[in-house]
This record gives sequence, C-alpha cells and structure tokens, in this order.
Amino acid sequence: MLLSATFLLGCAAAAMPAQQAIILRPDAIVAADGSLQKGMAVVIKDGKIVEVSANPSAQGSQVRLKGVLAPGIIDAFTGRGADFLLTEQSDAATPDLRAADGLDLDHPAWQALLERGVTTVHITPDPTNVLCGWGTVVSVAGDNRKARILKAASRPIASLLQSSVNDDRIGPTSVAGAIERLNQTIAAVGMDSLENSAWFFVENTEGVAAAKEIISSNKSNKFQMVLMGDVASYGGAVAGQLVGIPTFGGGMVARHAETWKRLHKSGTTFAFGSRGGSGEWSSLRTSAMSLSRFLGDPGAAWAAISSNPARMLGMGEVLGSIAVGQRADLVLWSAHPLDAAAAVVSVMIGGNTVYRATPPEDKS
Amino acid sequence: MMFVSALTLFWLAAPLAQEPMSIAVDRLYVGNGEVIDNAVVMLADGKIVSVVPGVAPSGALHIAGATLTPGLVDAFSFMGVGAGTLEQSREVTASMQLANFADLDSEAFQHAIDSGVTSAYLSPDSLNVMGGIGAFVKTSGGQPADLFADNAARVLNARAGLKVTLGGDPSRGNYTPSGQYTTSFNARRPNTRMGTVWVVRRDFYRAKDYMKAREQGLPVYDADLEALAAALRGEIPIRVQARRSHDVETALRLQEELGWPNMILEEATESHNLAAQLVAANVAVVCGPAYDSLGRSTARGPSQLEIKALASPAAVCCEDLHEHEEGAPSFFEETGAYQLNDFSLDMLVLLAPRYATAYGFASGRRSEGRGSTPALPALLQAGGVNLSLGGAEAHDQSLTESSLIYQARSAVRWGMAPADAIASITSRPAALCGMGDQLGQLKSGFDADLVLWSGEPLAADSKPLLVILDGVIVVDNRPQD
Repeated sequence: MLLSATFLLGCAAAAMPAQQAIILRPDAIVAADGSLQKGMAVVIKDGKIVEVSANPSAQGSQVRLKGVLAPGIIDAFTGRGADFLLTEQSDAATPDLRAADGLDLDHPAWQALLERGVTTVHITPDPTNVLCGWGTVVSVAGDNRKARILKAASRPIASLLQSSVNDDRIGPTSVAGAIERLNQTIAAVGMDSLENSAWFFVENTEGVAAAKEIISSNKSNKFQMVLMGDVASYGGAVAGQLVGIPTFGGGMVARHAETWKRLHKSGTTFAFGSRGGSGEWSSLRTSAMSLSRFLGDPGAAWAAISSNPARMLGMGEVLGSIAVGQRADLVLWSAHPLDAAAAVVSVMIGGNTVYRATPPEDKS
Repeated sequence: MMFVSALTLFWLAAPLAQEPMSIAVDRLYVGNGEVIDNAVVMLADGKIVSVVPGVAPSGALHIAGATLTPGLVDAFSFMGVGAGTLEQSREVTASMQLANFADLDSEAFQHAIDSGVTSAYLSPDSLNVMGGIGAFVKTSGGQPADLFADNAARVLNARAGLKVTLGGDPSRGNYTPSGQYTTSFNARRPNTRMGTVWVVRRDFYRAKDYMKAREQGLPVYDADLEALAAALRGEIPIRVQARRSHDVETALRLQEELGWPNMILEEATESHNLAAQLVAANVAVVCGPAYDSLGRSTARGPSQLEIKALASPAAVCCEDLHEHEEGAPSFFEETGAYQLNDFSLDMLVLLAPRYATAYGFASGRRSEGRGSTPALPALLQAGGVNLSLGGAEAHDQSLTESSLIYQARSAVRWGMAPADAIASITSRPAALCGMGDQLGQLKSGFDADLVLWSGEPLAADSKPLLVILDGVIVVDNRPQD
C-alpha cells in the first residue's frame, strides 16, 4: 500500500500535463504549528500549492498517499553543494563575493540532501571575512539547472566572529578591528551592501552590540543574527529576535539547553543551519528534535527547519509551509518528521517527484 | 650558413613578386563544408586567385590522390607562451598584450607548420584571473629576433581576445593566510572559484565606472581597465576558459550580468550538457585537446551511454551521460596510474588545505576534468553549438600526434561528421578570430594558405606534402623521384 502510494505520487507528477491539478491526500499533513492535521487534501498545480482543505473545490486526479506530508526542510546556512570550501581569504572584506559563483550543481551532496528530506539550502560564503559577500538560495533538485538557483544573491553576510579575526597578514586581529573594517567597507561600498537584511555572524556581546549599532546608525532595523560559539554568554543581547543557530553538535551542556529555553520564552525564534554544526547529514532534523525536547514546543522546533529559515531569507511566502501560494516542495514521511523513527518516503520539488526511497521498479 | 638562412627569411618575410602557381587536386575541401572533386587552384601574390573545377592544366602541380584543404587555423593555443609570459604578482594583468612578449621564434610554430597549421590564436596563460590580451598570428613569415632561428610567427592582430579564466586554475597554489607564509603574493590572490569570479565582477564594474569617468573627461587612466573597457565596447572578444559545467554556467551568468558583447568559451570540458544554453546565448566554444596529457585527465573514453547519445542524441538524457558505466574499469584502473580517491582527497583538503591547493587537488586537476569525454566536439555539434577545435599545448611539445589535425581526427572518431571537423579547424576558427573573410577557406581573394595532404586529411595515414603560407611553400614533403 505504501509502495503503491509512492509510485502513484511519482507517476502522477511525472505524467500529468502542467495545467492539470493534482489532489494529494496523505494520511496527515504537518501544519504551520508543527501539529499533524488529518483528512486534509493538498492541491498542486503548475508546481505550486493552490488549495489546502478537507474538501477541495479543485478538479483533478486524486492521489492517495500513505504517510505524513510535510514542507521540505530548509537549511538556513550551509556550504554543502559548493566547490569545496567557500573560504575566500584574498582580502578581509569581500562585499561582492557570491556563493552562487562557487556552486557545484553536480556535487554528490545534493542527492544526500534529498535523502534527508531537505529541499532548499542557503549557501553562504564562510563567515571569515568582515563583509563576506552574498549567500545564494538553491533548490536541491530539478531538471532546469538555472531554475534551481532560487535567489542568486540572497543576503549579505557580515561576520564579527572573534574566531575569524585572526588574520596576521592584512588584519583585523580583534573584534574591534573587525568592526572598524566593516564600517570602512560599508562607507566605501555604500549601505546598499546591507540593505537587503544583512546576516551578522556573531559569537559575543561585542559582536551583537556592534551589529546593532551599525544597523541602527544606518536607519534600518532589517538585520538578522546568526549565533555562534557559546550563546549562553551573550544570548540576552539577542532576546526576542529571529536568529539563526548552527545545528547541535557534541559538547551540549545543560547551560545551553537552558539558554534556548530562555530565548524561546523571550519570543526569540530559531532557524537551524548546518554550517558550523556537527557535520552529520541528518543534524538539521535531529537538532530540531533536540530543540523540541528543550523547549517542550514541537511547533517551534519544526519551524526552525521549515518556515523560519524561509522567513529569514525573505521567502516565507513561497517556502517553508503547506499553504496556498507556496512552492510544491513537499516531503512524504513515514511518520511525523520530528518522530525519531520517521523516514523519507519520497520528495517533490516544484511539483515534480525528484526522489523515492524505494524506486517503483523494485517494488515487485 | 647563417647568412643563407637569414636571406631565405627575408625572402619569406617579403614575398612580393611571386610567380603565379596553379595546383590541381583530386579533391578539395573549401573549409566551409563544401567539397569539390577535381579542382584547380590558382595562386598569385600571396592570395588565392581562383578555385575552379577541372582537370590539371599544363604546368600545374599535380599529385595523384592528394587532397587540398585551407591552412589549418588553431583557435586556441599556447605557442610562444612560457614562463616569461606569466606575470603573477597580481591576478589581473588584463592590459598585457601577449604579442609584445610571446616568443614568436618558438619551435612550436615550426611544429605547427609541419602539421599544417598556418595561423593560430595565441592565448595568455590561465593562472591569472584575467591574464591579458591574446594575439592572432600566422605561424610563419615573421622576422625572427634570434638570428639562428629559421622561422618566426607574424602577428596579424595583437588584440584578438581578452583572457578570463574561471574554475580552478587562477586559485591553484594560493592559500589562506596563516603562519609564516603570509608575505607571499599567493596569500593575497583568490583561493576559491568564488573569489575568482569576484575579481572578474569587481574589475568589470570598475571598468564601467571608469568608462563613465573617461566620458566625462576626468583625468583618469588605468591600463587594465582600458582593456576591459575595450572588451565591453565589443572591440576585443572575451575569451573565457571554463571547464566544469558550473564554470560554464558562471560564464553565461557573467555574460548576461556584465553585458559582454562577444564571449567565446575555451576548453569547456563539461559543456556537452549545456548545449541549449550555449546556443541560446549565441556563445561559441573552442574545445581544448582531448589527449594532450594524462595530467589533464581527459583520457577517459566515452561510456556506452555517450556512444548511444551520438547515435541518437534525443534518446539519452544528458544527466545520464555523467553516470559511469557500471562495472567498467576506470582509466586509472586500466592504466594503473595513481589516483587518490574522493575520500582521501577530502581528508587532504580538510587537514592540509595549503598542500592540497598547492598540488592542485582542491581547485585544479581533480575537479577540472571529471566529466570530460573525447566525444565532446560531436556532442556539441549535435547540440547546434558553434564549435572550433584548439590545440592548446599540443604544438609546444613537438607532439605531432596531438596536433590540431589529430584533434579533428579524434573528433571524427567519436562521432563528428568529417566536413564539420574540417570546418572546425579552418573556416570556423578563422571567423571566430575575426579573420573569416581572409582565412580558413579556399576561395578567391583569400590568403594563399593551403595544405596539400597525401590522402584524405582525416585519415590516420595522411600527412602534409606541401604547406603553403601566403603563397610561399614553407613545408615540402613531396616524394623525391
């Protein structure tokens, strides 16, 4: 039954003409708050979700799906799928650098991401320069290579990381020097370089304070923080904001879990990125499971790998949830994706089935 | 002896009053795809006077079974380019004109003529992001600087193309700064693909600002930006060396973003799955040599899928072409050549990035030729791409087995039509280099650059009997009887 359903999903998406709506009827869908909703149908047409309801009005072929349908997982910041390391160190400030120029769309990482239910990644230059350049939002699969790049220049990436500012060649060698160089760079290239909601990689109070100062002095509140290092020592400074955090690696202690809890209480929302994390492929999902445990709020944890990264990227309207107008980037799981036993059954991107855990020809 | 050769050279350099010559052949390739059986070619004053069908008139040079083609045009070569031509203290040396410092006496040009190449585009080296301006030369007829040299190339166009290199080459050997090596210029140059593109973009935007400043009459001058401005005005084609698929895609993106009026791709090793985009963007491709050296790892033969694609291009999905045939021995397994596997390379890059990049593993060799195939010319031709062949280093190494005609033979062996293969080493590269109304075809009014082959030019046993350049016989291998 499960197999025939995946087969149908594949066939339906592949065989139907673009104009024909397809009505997907999974056992349940993962709603925006992370809860399971049963009896809902998801109607897709031209690669988008056009209706979500128990009794859809749209006409089209019905596809019964055994399992839980969820929006594809989004990696908020990563280097996977790029040409080796995106660490460009010919200068301490590289404002025009674009991660899109280091992309390798033939990289084996893309297949591994699909197998883990990830449909979109935000690839950023390594946060080792004060103004590192631009990230790029990439769809994990698709026939049209050009169309896979959803945003060629997504967000300017700035870095005030203590651990990065140790350049003994051209400097800076301290956060203070990094702040100075960042200000100089902004003065030279113009505030345009940050207009599109810059991301600041920070790992201490000085970094957070400087980021806030730089932004407020330029009369813009549009910026986001990506928290690195021991957040417990400076987390209070970012309370209430939307922040990116690396996936949880080893070395997690009680103080960290307590930090996430307090930040969550203060209204802070999180988006997980796999760069800087443990490096384990499934860490996005396992990190969300851990967060769910810490917070006692599965919805907030699920949002950290779906709708929140989409919002951080300014793409919340089109990615990250099952709602009308969203791209049909959908993953069929055997159970709720935050259930440790859940496995990916199949993956659809832009309305096309791009991955099946069990190929249809093997099912006999 | 010295005086004799010097005198000969002066005569070669100034072929003013030549006797008209007529050559009768059994078969003649015009160079544009046309083939004429039983033709007579008249030459005078370094030009082709007429090409007419007919039998040999009295006094005509005639060798039974011989075939005539235009002198071959190498669309992409490194002849005369050596260590002395590579300035590495900065990554952009766009203003440097290769014609001013290439070794035009190089033996490579003699090797080229010996194998029928009468003109060539000389490319600056690929280790800079923008290495300079390439030259278009005749492979003979120049004035040697060295009194002992027998032959020298003659520059026809000193501003024939601006070299831009994407991919791993410009970042090869560069490293991130740390420890005691930070004083080296290698620590200041881009060390990623991404950084290489950044340098291209940065300088082209600077060039646009610079052009505005010049228009406003501001007293600014920058030689490198002048070269870029000339390229942006369409005066010099932009020659982009891009091997991997994503490098080719980057080139297409840059072309669109920066408004490059005339872009030509060099090597384009993995471009066969991007033929449609290349056609849509009206971009011509010069394929690098398929077999110049093992180091470039281009020696893998096509898989069964690729051969199937040649038979029926529409029947095979392009993505499938990347799949290695199941169970088939790899090139390295077949030859026993040493190769690090992916895992150990990744470890090397992570643990010792400086050494990994210095030896080209991270940015160069390993990642540059992964999807290469000798069927590339045939696949691009099937996709409708404007394609020429280039010899790259072939003639430098006096390896006539990898010369331009060998490239064409190889292309035919892997599925290209012979007429297309001839066109891709004659009329097409001539047009690509802006010499399409002067070179690359056997037509009246064109330069008298011809090669008389002992048989079909693409046959393995065929060799040049006569090479004529500007109406002068520069190679004579006619049987003595």
